[in-house]
Amino acid sequence: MYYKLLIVLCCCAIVLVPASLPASPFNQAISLHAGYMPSLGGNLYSYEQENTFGSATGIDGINKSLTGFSTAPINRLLGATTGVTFKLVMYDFFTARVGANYFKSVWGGKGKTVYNDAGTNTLLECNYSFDGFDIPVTVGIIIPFYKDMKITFSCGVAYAWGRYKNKFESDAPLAYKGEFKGSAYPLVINTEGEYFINEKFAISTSLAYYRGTTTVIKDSKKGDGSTDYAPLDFSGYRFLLGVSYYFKPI
Amino acid sequence: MNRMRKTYHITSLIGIILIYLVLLASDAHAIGEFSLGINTGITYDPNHLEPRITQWNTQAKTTATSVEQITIPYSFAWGINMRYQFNYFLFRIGAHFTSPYSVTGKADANKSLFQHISLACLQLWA
Repeated sequence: MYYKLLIVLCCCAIVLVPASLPASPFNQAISLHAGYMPSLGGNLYSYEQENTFGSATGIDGINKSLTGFSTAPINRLLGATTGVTFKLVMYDFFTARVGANYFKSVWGGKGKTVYNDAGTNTLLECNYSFDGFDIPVTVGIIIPFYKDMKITFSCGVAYAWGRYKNKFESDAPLAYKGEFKGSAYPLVINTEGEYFINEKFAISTSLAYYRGTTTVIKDSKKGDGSTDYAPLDFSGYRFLLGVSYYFKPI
Repeated sequence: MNRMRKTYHITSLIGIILIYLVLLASDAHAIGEFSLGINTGITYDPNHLEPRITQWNTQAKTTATSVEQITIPYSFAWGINMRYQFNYFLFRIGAHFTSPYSVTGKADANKSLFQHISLACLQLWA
């Protein structure tokens, strides 16, 4: 336990001490950002959706309609995210970054569909949600434009933890509930543009792409009479706006 | 395996030809600027077998008590590209290559789930 803390402190010292020296070629910044994530969780595939409701493509294939049934489209999840990033700038052109982000689905994933229950068409109410956090670590290059703009390209890997929940209810009566928790190491690529409003503050916009999935995880929800299985997909784009504070003037 | 070896030979040959062309042109006084680039990195799920692997793992999990799942591979990737720039005109052509790790099941050790993949890209900036 203590040696892990020691390693973290050593890493912090390596990063922070050189950067704090006045003539150091290092600079540091801290950035707060928020944005949205289209298609959070991917297609939200799970075994029960394929086995019981006939959708091998998760939320995409679950949508069906039939005359006489009042169905409502079930859209892929739209997520909101917010986080903080610590940036180390080296020799003006190179950067290393570590961040922490929280994300949660805020729209979509709710609706009604029809499925074939042993020969009888039955209305099914569906509900999906996804939330979690990630810690991306990236390195990259900075391209400065004039005195007040910087464009940064960086790539790396993230530790991501997520929780995916689904619920399917019908008049059968039937209620399948699933909850899946797990982590993965998605690859990350990030592009960011910064505009400096003064020597220390900048506003930024960035586009990040994550690519990674967990193995298949067993449903941890008990008491609904079914055991479901699903992977957690962290792949997807993130569109962000943020504010950065540089510890030394640029 | 033979296919993979063949691909290596072809890509190596392309690389040698490109290097030769650049060396040949290094003394020439051309209009514009030629350059050769080599890059490396890591890719994930290179030939997009993720849905099939997920389905395979799910079936295994639902039918067996103890399952060692197939993981989606991270794979080493490398690329080579050539660039020609003349004032504001930039033409770049390149290719990326990766050899995903082969995954074999113990019960079916002779079959490889992953295939070799070669990607190519073409860029035109002006």
